[in-house]
Amino acid sequence: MNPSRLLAAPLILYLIVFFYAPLLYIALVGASIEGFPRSYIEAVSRPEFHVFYIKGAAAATIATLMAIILSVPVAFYAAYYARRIERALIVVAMVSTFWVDVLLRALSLKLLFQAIGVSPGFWPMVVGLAYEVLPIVFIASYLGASQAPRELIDAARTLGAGPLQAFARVALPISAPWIAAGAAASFVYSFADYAVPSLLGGTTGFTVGNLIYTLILEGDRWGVGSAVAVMLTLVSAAGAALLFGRLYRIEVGR
Amino acid sequence: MRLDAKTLLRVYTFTVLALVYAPIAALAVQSFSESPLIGVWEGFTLKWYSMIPGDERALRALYNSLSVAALSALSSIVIALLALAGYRRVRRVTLVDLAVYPPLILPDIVEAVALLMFLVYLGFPLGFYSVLVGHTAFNVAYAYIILAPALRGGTKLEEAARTLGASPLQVFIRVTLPLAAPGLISAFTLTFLLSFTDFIKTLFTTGPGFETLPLMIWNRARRPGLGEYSSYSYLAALSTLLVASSISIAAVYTLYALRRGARS
Repeated sequence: MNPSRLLAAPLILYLIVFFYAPLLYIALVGASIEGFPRSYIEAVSRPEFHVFYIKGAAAATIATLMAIILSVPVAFYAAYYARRIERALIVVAMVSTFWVDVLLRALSLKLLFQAIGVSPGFWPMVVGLAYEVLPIVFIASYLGASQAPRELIDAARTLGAGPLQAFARVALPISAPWIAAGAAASFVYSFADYAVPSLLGGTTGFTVGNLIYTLILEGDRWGVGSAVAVMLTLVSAAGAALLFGRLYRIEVGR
Repeated sequence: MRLDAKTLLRVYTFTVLALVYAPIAALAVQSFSESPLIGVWEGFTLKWYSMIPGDERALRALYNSLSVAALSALSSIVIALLALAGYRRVRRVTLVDLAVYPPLILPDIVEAVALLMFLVYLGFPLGFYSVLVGHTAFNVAYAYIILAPALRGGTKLEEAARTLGASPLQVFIRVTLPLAAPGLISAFTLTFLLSFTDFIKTLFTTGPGFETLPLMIWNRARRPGLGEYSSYSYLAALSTLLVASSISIAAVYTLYALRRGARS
């Protein structure tokens, strides 16, 4: 083996010790604290937990749809119609909030909601989640929209397609895989989030993040908490497989 | 009159942007309000801002956040650079490439729970070092991904330098690093911000007495009161400063990235 490869050893060791070993630890040891496979069975079958799964999945789905509806037209406008400076302005404005602490975004929304008399609950939490994932979905849609060359759309227009038709039959199919990838990332993010639910969810807004927090940091149920975390890993791995499978197909299809 | 698609989309775009910035604007307005209560405007004041220098808890949290972010950004860049230096000439996808993706994809709450339980199992003390170690675990992955394009595969310039008699070390310092400089700036900005704004991983892996800014704001926002430092208007002032600094760093960075993208 080439000795220079050893330079990668610190990175690999670091990831093994502080990322892979902890995951393996909770999957094998952590989830067995209360007896294997009891924790897994409890995590799957306990009716009180189902509320978190169902509400979390519903909130993540609605938030993702809202983010798509809000950001896709903006992405298309920026990619196809806006001139250079306007485009830069829109992209910068849409992406910048991503770098603001999630907590501060949730807090600002909480203040706005309270100012207009909306108290925390399921729907304010859904809006909060949509607010958090909006930049993710926007970046994906903008990258997708930039894939369809302007000339292709002009060609469709020249051949007699209306603006809507050119959008629906040329631009959208090209960018759809990217939007889907953004949606998968957004779903996983909201399903697992804890920051937004803790500030905007009140007593009726829950996600799987709340469940894990309660089990681990408040309830001292480390076994079941690990089991839920392991299952969440599997869900996000499935989401990631979908995401990368799609992007891979785009690359290969070219 | 025919409404064309462009005008419609444009109106839609600016409506969405207005919605996105409405909460942040509300935060800023609240921070200048005389009243400590949400949504109550009793005149303009800067008193909430003038309280910040006296808030020792916030200053300590700021110091903690800055030191974790700087150390984590620097060490993750060094670790990533080393690994990339070892695989300079390899173009195929390696095991190292595959190993860095899961930390980017996994929800941070899972990473956080796993790390917490593993550190407790190892007997690792929870506090500054556990938070630093946790932030660096996702930052090494980001640093690697950002730096890889600039450093992978020997460039023609490097081969030319070597042909002209430069030693491998000289090539690395005089050719490779300058070429990688924009990547290094990106990597530092992003890893620093990722650590500085991290909430969930810090929440799980911190120990008693160690608080970063996001944790402090969360603790106060959960139980707001009328007390000096826990009123909503004071929190809003603190948050407005943080939001403004994050957005300006992000805006400068995005413009820089867009310009670089336009040039290549």
